[in-house]
Amino acid sequence: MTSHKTTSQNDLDWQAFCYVTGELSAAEVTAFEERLATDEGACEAVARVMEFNLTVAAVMADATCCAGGSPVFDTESIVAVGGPPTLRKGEIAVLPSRWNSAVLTVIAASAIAATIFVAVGSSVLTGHKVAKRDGSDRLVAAWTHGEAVRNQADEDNDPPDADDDDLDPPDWMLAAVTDEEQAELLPGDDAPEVREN
Amino acid sequence: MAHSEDQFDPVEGSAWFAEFAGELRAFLLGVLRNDDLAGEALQATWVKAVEQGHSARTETRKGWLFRVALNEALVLKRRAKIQEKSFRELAQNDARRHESPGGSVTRQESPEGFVLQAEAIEQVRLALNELPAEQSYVVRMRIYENKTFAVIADELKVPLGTVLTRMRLAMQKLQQLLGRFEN
Repeated sequence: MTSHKTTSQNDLDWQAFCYVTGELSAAEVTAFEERLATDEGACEAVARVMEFNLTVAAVMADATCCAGGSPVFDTESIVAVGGPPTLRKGEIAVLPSRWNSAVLTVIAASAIAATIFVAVGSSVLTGHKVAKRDGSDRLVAAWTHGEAVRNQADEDNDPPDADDDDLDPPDWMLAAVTDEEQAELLPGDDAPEVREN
Repeated sequence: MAHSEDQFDPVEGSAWFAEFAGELRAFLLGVLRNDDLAGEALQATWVKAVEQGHSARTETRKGWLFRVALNEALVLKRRAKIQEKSFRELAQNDARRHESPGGSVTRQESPEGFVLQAEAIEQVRLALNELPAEQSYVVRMRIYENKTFAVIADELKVPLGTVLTRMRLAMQKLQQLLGRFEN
């Protein structure tokens, strides 16, 4: 390989820059690639310019990220880091740092956990927590009220000798009431009352 | 270093290849503008280096590697239409490779090579801050936003030659500044 001494490094870098950025015509590309095959200096210029361009892109991505603007990620970065909030393909992307990746991963994991919690476990957990928060008396009152309404609606259809056992709350509910109410009993009280709220 | 055997000593061949791996990778990225294909071409170059590198003279090894790498790249380029990626995407992918397990090594230590270096990023950051605004703007639009010079000229409503001049001046200035920082 021989160096083209007539071309300064700046000119060579500029030509390499136009090559890697796709600014050359098809004929110019062919000519430059023929030169690459015989000119080590031209190869080095391509490598040098490419390093430079990637570094500039990294700096600008980093600046965009840290300037407080709203960073926009491309699709690939979303796949890689687990999903930042905004997606606008073809716009500004943010170079992910190790810290950013960790934070976004934690955020994504939290979002997934919250979604699972709401979608799957809400009915069970919510019911349990309501019972705990409002007390078993409210639950019993609601149960009794609901049953009364349902029975009132069905009253005309029921045979006269219909069994009234289904008005009774289930044992597990009574057990909860008994425990709580007994804890509130004052000395001398004989039986707990179900409070109406 | 030349061997009379048919193959290089693999350890010696790998060490020799690793010395230029980062620069080769940057070169292949420049030719292909696609990091997957650049990785493929780099791998093929490494295989050729181990198999046939003994035929290259010590003083011409780098040129030999560039030539092999270029051939591999052009084969890939002719095989199918390449989906070229923006510098931004390529920079992201390179940074991601840094962050992979065991990725915090310099390009000299890695047989695959890395293009981005933390020190270089910091130097470029400082150098960019010293550019005149109109030059910095062109650099941003061309390299980061991947706009062609014609589009930039159209958007800025200035002649194409003005945009090209700003870019060239910016590159020269950045190289001077980077040289100053390195010193």
